[in-house]
Amino acid sequence: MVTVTSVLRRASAANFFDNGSSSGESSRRPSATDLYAPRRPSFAALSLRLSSWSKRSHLSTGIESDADSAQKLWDAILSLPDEITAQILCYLSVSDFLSLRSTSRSVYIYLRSHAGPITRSLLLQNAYERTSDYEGNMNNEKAEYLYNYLHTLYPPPQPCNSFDYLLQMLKRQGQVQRMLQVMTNWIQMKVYVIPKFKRCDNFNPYKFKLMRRLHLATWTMYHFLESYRTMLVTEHPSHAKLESADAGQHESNRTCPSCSQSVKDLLRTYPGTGIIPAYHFYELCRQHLRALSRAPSAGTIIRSRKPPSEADLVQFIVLGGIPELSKLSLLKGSANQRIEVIGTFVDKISSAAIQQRIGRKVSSSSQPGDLSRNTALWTSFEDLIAPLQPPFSFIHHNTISAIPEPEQFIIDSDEWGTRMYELVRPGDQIVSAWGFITNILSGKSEVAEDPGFENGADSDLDFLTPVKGFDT
Amino acid sequence: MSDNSKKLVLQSSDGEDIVVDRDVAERSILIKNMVGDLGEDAMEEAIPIPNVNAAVLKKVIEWCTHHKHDPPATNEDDSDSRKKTTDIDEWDQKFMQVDQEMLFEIILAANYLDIKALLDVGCKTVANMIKGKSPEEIRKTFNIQNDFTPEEEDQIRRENEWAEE
Repeated sequence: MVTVTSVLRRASAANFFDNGSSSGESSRRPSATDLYAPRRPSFAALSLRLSSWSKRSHLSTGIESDADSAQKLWDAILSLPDEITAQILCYLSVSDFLSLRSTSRSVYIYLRSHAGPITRSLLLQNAYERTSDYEGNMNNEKAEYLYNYLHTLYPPPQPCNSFDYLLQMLKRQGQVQRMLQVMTNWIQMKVYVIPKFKRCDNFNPYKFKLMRRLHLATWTMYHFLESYRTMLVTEHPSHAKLESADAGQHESNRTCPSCSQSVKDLLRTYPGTGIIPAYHFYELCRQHLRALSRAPSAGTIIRSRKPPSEADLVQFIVLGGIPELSKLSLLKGSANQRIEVIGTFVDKISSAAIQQRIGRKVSSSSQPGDLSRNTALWTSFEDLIAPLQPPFSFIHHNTISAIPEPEQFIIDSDEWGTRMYELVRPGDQIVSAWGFITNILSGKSEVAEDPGFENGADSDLDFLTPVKGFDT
Repeated sequence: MSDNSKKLVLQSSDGEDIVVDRDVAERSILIKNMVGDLGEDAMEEAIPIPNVNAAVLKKVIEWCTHHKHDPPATNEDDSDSRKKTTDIDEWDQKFMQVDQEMLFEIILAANYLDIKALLDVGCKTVANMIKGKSPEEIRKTFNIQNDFTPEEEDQIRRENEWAEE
């Protein structure tokens, strides 16, 4: 007969002692005095079970200072089995985590050894926050979908042994959120042009609905612009060299077949429910940018610069991406200031390309792989932020000449048009950007059953005709 | 069909026998599986819990008694979704108002006995000691020595500000 004792001892060995050396001594048998003595708010007994405790605790006189107790508390957390410590750390919010990592070198190194689970937990928490409904209820399916989607767009490093990825994702999230805020505020101002949309005292539920629906679209556009820029800056110059060697004399700004193929491949990585809303989101951003960069027509205005051309705007979008767009939109100031910001950005690009041509390096940004400035603990700050910055030091004149005409970038581009119509069913018609916004505000996808959408993804009915009006 | 009105005897690491209702004891997956494996044999003799002393075991049983009617943990509970909030039920908050030694003993016991909900409450309680504090407050609470060089501290501050701005 199998005895209870033998089964439990097996379980004990498997479940307890394997959890780490910290637990090994806990099966001690205390004396009778230990048993019946009232508990003191101290860690004297715990020191026996947590192996990494300092010897000082064993020499404790029994009267412990607050500082000793505090020290033991931290040691006790660190001495718990790894999976329990990881679970405790996973309950922390982003700001708690940032505070904790700032406390000491040893805490920093300890946290870094748990970078994988902490990163996952904080990004998952973020996904829950971004998918909760207006009443604050969480939606597991939507949160998991968002988390997995972002994981696909930006795969984490394996193994994850630093917080660079987490910090970059948090930064991107902040920029996405700011852009969404800007765009929903702008839509709120423009929404009264939508037929039959009644002015309401409280636009917040509508704004919330827009924020939720456009969240994935903003991420998709963020990723597309970032990937497109990387392609033009790092890959296109070599495509251009090959093609000019192969084909001899050609016009310099014709579409690069390799880049066109890369865009097609990139678009195939986005799901159908993501790509069409992203297309509409871009169209709205473009309209907004035009409005921002248009100087007021009334009165006499002294300008140091001409308003940017359409080509300048597309350069700003392609090489600046969502981060520069959101920064520009948040700029508090006159149209002249915004025009100045766009002009300065475009000048910086031209200057960078000239510097490249004459063989000088632009000093403002870090060179990838430059480890000389890295400390033992982490990569340099410049290397951390470099992937999210416009790569001025690498911009080649071939990059600039490959930037599409304004009307052929996304809107009216063959790659986007073809891909979007591959994704809808025969007979389906895609609505305009404002038709899409009207459908979101009128709650079209909320009332209709859409059998085609994936779990957690938003329904695709709101970007298809008909546009649901507000009189039904 | 199991008879949940039956009693089990748990023997703590310090040799004390504690009689407990089977359905209460079976909040522990370790005990539940063992009783399932051994059937009626398990009821006949005291079940040794070699890593948990009597005081801690009684606290754990107190928690299991209060939560004996809770629905059993599902796979979904095992996922990360349970980690999104550190809100703790009022009764559990009071239950966890123990000295720090006992708190950590309860966490270790919950881990050993495989009582996920209790482990969660314990972990949340510890996490709440860190939550909402500035780096300086955390250093003070846990008596952590700031051993960063000024350059390292400056870089951390820049990284945090960059990620949060």
